[in-house]
Amino acid sequence: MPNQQRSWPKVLMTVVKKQALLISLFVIILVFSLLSDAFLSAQNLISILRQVSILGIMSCGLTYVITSGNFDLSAGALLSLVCCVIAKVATETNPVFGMIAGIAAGMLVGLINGYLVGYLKMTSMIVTMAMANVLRTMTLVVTGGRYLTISAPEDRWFAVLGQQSILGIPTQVYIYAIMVIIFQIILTRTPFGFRVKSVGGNATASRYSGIDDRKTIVKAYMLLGFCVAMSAIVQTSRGMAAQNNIGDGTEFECLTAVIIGGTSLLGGEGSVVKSLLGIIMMGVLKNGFIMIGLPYYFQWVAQCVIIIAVVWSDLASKRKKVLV
Amino acid sequence: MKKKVIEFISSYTVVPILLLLLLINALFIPSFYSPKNLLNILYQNSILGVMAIGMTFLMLTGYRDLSAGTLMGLCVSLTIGLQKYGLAVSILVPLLVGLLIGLLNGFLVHKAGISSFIVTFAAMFGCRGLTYLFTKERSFVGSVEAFQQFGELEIFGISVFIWIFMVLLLVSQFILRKIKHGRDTYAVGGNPETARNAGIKVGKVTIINFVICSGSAALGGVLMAAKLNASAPALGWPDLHMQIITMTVLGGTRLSGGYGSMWFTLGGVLTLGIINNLIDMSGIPAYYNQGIIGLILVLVLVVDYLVKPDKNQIDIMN
Repeated sequence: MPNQQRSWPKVLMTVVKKQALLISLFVIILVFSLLSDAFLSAQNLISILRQVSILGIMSCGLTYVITSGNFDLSAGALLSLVCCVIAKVATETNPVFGMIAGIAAGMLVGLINGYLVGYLKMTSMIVTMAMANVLRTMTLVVTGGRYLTISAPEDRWFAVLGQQSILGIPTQVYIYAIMVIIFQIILTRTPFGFRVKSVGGNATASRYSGIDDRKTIVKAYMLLGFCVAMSAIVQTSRGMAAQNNIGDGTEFECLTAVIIGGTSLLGGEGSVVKSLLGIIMMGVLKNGFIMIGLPYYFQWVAQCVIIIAVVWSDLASKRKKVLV
Repeated sequence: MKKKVIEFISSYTVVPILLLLLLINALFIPSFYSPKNLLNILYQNSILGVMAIGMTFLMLTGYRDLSAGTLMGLCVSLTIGLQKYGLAVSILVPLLVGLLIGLLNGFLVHKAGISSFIVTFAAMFGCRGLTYLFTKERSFVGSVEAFQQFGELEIFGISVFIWIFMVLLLVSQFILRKIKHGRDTYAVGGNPETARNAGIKVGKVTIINFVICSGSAALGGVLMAAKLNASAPALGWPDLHMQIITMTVLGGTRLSGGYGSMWFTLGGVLTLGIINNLIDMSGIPAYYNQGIIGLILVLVLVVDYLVKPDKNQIDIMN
């Protein structure tokens, strides 16, 4: 009997360990819906989705960068910069050029970050931290500290991306869903995705087996730049305005979601879908604490506890020190 | 000769930068070298300097602490908010909280084996959450006369904060060079495996340095409270820890651990202070500060890369 050892409790434990995130998400949703009547209403769930999709779009790219074994702490500052670039260009010409300029700016910054990290072998945490400072200054230079609004009547259509709904679901949720699917397929089914994982797992070994680790890192950062630009487009469209500190702190939330999702900070393994779960978890917590009447700052304590709990249980289940 | 210069620059990156800054100041900003301005630079940065001292200990061990900024914010709020229970309580409780959080960080990093980035990243949110839980989003104003006077105290015309910074700097440098813990710190940062084989208690050293780092952040919070005699829950968020890490890295202390000293940190603190001062005095809009500091940091890292003999990537994930 080959299956004799696989007793039911054991199988159950494996499932629980493998899907711990999904299960804890369900538990949290259950608790919130018991404590608050309004939590599980369709309207609230849609509003959670709407809130998370801006961070979510960013997290698609961040998953790539982290899978390749690096970090990005400048994503939040980049979001502010791209929002302001979009708003500035959109007011001066039209939103189409605004979007193009935004994506170009995002990918350019990604290129610079990638070059510094990939080719010059700098510690990504410190480089992107320094870049964040530079980007914040550039944002202030672009805006002059002012609040930019897109107010011309012929530009109203731009609001479709962030304010309208299709079949009752906000447009940005569709954008996020499409990006998750595409990025997940690229990560799991294409040579490029394989290279990203391989470089994250062991950059030296990848180089010896013919993978250009430097180019891969640059591409990962450029993808992140693209994703940040996409979420900046949605963000700008949602408010039809841009503010110079709009992205402050979003990089931390994104990073939390990716960590909770189970993408190893050491690199080598990652999944955009799991980051999606992390993002939803964050959104549910943020929303739930408010719905059950607790002040919003509980989410930070919860965030702290959850990060430690998730990573610790992950380590314990693997029974080895993944990160020293 | 050329080799010697390169060697010097690669070991003391901060010295040429400081000299260059001082030269620029001498050429363009006539009032820079007034004693008042120089003291002012020190006064503005001494509290950050106190925190950078703790960060240096941790960075020498090969770790970084992202929670230092929000922990400082928490301690400012605690110090001012607890003043109704007496001055002693209001000073001791934040320091204890700081030590406790340091202990927790160190424990989670060393015993549980979680990456220090994740632990201190989580602690960053934890401290921020605690700050808001404690203050309920309120700002406080200090009510103890003696505490306020302490913040305004001057000894020989020099602010008490500068004295505290200097004394701590000297004591820390003494610890690093002469005391066993300091020597062990270098050994652990240089190569934990070798250090363990040599009989050094790696865990103890690591946890003590986490406690030192968080403790100095808490001390920074108490001092900041004395300086401001008020508190706001948003203090220290979102990038105070970045400033402190920047100071330490700018000084030349290696991120990978095992190389650096308190003099480097002093250099980093001064560099940052002088850049800010230079920009303020030259009439450039203040928001260029951050960007210029960021660029200089990138530049230092590039120079570091170019002159470093072994161009292996520094291991980021301690």
